Amino acid sequence: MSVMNAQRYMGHSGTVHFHSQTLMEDIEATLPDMTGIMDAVDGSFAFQVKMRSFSFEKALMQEHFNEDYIESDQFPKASFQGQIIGWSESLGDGETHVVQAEGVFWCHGVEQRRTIDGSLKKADDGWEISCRFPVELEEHDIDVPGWATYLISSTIDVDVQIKLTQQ
Amino acid sequence: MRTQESSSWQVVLLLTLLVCSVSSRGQGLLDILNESVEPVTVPVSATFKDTRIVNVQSSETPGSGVLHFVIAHRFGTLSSGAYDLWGLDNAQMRMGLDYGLTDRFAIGVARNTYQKTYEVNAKARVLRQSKGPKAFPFSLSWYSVMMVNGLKASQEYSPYYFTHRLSYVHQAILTRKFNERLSFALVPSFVHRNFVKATGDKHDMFLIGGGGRYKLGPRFSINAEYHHRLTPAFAPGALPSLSIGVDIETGGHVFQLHMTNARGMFERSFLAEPAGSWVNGDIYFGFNLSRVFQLKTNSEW
Repeated sequence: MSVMNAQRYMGHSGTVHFHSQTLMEDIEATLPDMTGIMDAVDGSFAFQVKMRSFSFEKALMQEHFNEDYIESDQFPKASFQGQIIGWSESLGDGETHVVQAEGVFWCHGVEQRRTIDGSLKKADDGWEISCRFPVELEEHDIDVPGWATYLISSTIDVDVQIKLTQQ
Repeated sequence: MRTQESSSWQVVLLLTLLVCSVSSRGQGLLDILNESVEPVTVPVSATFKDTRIVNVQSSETPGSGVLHFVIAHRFGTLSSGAYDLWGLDNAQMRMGLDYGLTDRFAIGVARNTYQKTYEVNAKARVLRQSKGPKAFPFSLSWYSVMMVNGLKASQEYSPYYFTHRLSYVHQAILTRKFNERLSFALVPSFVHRNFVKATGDKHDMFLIGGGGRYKLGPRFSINAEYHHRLTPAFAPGALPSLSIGVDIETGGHVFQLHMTNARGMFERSFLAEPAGSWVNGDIYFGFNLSRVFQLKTNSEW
């Protein structure tokens, strides 16, 4: 176990930013406290966010996000658990590497198998990881009523950045 | 026999070890993450959709930097019949503006056609219901309003000073969101009027009110409220107010449609003045239409 722990990297202050754009409205939200963990033996990892941590420009957007769309009381968290494809020790050479990860994205109580693009870099004190991926609201049973389709895009762009340090 | 017994023990031991190693390996990274995070206390939000249940204040205030604009109407009585289109010919109106100075404190002004009444009000969220390690079971908001009668002074009551025009209501609004759908409010109210027509008429009244909402969909709820007088009514035999309505939310608007036996939309009127009889159809159809404008954006932006 101690050998495994030595290869375990964690972070508690990752940022997530998402953006929805339509002709009528731009909606953005950020979150400062994404948690993440990676096992540097095999490149397996998990990221997790609390939906109520997202803050919006407008108070009402935040309320509607939590109450009407994401239903944060029922589904308080979203997560991605997976594996970096083609993991090898050479990824830790201090350069930035473009990688792909494969795993399960869990949001609004619905699981989707996803392959996402990202990059990672080994720094002196840990790993810097970032990725960007689209989320289709329909795939996660997030219901947008007809009148709101002018305001909320059916695809949300999600941007993730986190630093994981050795445990 | 002995070897058999010891070998069966070995099997049990082996199985136990196997199960233990499987379960420790099966502990996913997500579980380790969850263990590493301290649970936090979060306030319960959206106990009600709007700042009012029907007539009475809910625990909600406009968010920081939010201007909340409300137009409300109460039409004439249903019992007025087809000639007045069951009251629709005959509307009372209230226009109000509330502004959230912080997420917990709002101030407002309003004007009512009834007795040309102006209002100045303030509302504070004193305690917030919350979940988590330091959970708190209910919210408490405070609402105070000063009402100014704007009618021309009658010669009948002379001298009639400006202070005679004033009345006040103070309310503690206790609410609890039991689950996503069901919220209740308990609202003790104190009403004071400076002016009475005859010596011996009461200046003060205490009431206890109850209200609630039940959500039938994410943007639709049924609401009701009732106010019970704890001290004698200003007018003998006056009925208390009972209201039933729905909330319909569309983006930045909330439409509240309701039936109520109180026609006034400011606190002294719907709390202290005689209401119509539900049995006789002396009830009013009405609506509150609210729209929010975010004037100042979240400081983190």
